[in-house]
Order: sequence, then C-alpha cells, then structure tokens
Amino acid sequence: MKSSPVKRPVFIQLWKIRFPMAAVLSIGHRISGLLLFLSLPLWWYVFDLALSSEQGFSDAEQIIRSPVMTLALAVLVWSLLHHFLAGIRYLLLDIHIGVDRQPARISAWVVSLLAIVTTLVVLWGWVL
Amino acid sequence: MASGLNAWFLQRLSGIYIAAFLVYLLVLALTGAPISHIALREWLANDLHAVLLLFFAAALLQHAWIGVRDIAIDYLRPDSLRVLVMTAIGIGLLGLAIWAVLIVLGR
Repeated sequence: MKSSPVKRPVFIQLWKIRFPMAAVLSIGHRISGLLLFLSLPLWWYVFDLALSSEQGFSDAEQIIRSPVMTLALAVLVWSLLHHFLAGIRYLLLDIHIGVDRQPARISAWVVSLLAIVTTLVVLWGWVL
Repeated sequence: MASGLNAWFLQRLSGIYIAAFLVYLLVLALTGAPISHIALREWLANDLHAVLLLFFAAALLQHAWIGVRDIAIDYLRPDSLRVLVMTAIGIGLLGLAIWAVLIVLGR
C-alpha cells in the first residue's frame, strides 16, 4: 500500500468522452456481471424452494412470475446474455481471434446487438 | 506472485464450465420433460448430476468472487473499505457454498 501518490491530471467527465463500442461492451460486461452476482442469493433460494416440496415448487413459480420479479428477470436475462456473449468474445480474443481493430469493432457491435435481440426474443417467449 | 495470471486463468476455466452447464440446462429445458417438482428431484437424484451441479455452484461462486474483486479494486477506496466489503462478500459466498452442499445433501 503506497503512500499518497504524485498528483496527476484527472478527467472523469464521461459524457464528454467518445467511447469505442468495445468500451461500451466492456462496461456492460462489468455491470451485467455485478447484477448477476447480486441475483445469486435469489437463485439459491428459488432452487431450494422448488426442490423442497410440490407446494414449494409452486411457491417458487409464483415468485418468479410475480410482476416485480418479471421486471427484475428482464434485466437479469439481458445481464446473462450480454455477459455470456461478451465473455465468448473475450475467450476468442484470448486465443487471438478477432484481435485486429476492424474485426474487434465489428464483433463488439454484433455482440451488443445480439444480446439485446436475444433478450427480447426470450422475454417475448416468456410472456407468451 | 502470479495472482493476476491465476485470476485470469480461473475466470476462463470457471467461465467455460458455467457456459457449458448453462447450455446443457437450456437443452434440457427445451427437449426434456416439462419442468416440475418431480422432474427436478429425479434429475438431482442422479449422483453425476449432483456432482456436476456442485461444480457449477463452485464455478459460479469463484467466478463471482474474482469478478467483484476486480470491481472493488477499481472503485473502492480507501483500502480499508475495500477489505471490509470483500470480507463481507467472501463470507456471503462461503455461506452460499455451504447452502449449496446442504441443498444437494438433502435431496
């Protein structure tokens, strides 16, 4: 743990900085990860409940299908899809696939849009 | 110390297992028997499934720990606050680990 470091210029007016798509994808990956982490206790609880008894299973269903949960679920579905798809893009980058600027830019857009589209598809299927 | 390298590797390892398991669950949900209490119990009664599920829980918790740790390192200052928060989260995640074992043992 260092002592007080040298004063360096700081610029954190994020709204004034133009971010590449890969940066947007990256912060989305971080935010979605955080949201998924926060939802872990919920999944544990719902799984425990569903496994406990027939009544427990139906209670778990009630919880999942409640209006409040439906909204949270929409966010979590996006979180899972974005984190998963962006994660795959990172794995490919790790083995040097798509590292060049153009492909990286394109894949960042593709993943971001794919995450949103599949989220809508899942939610549409869920609601039906 | 190669803690950065270890963290990088563990995130890939756990991430891949989590992704594979989720795909497995998806395929199961789409092609298997309708999801019901009985179906759930029958699935978990299989010892291999129980082990794979516990691996899944472990992978999730470890992946979450490193992920949140990275966020804490970037944004939580001073160090004492970060240590406090990560300790609380660590205890919470350990609690989930114990809970997972209890759930599976109670099947």
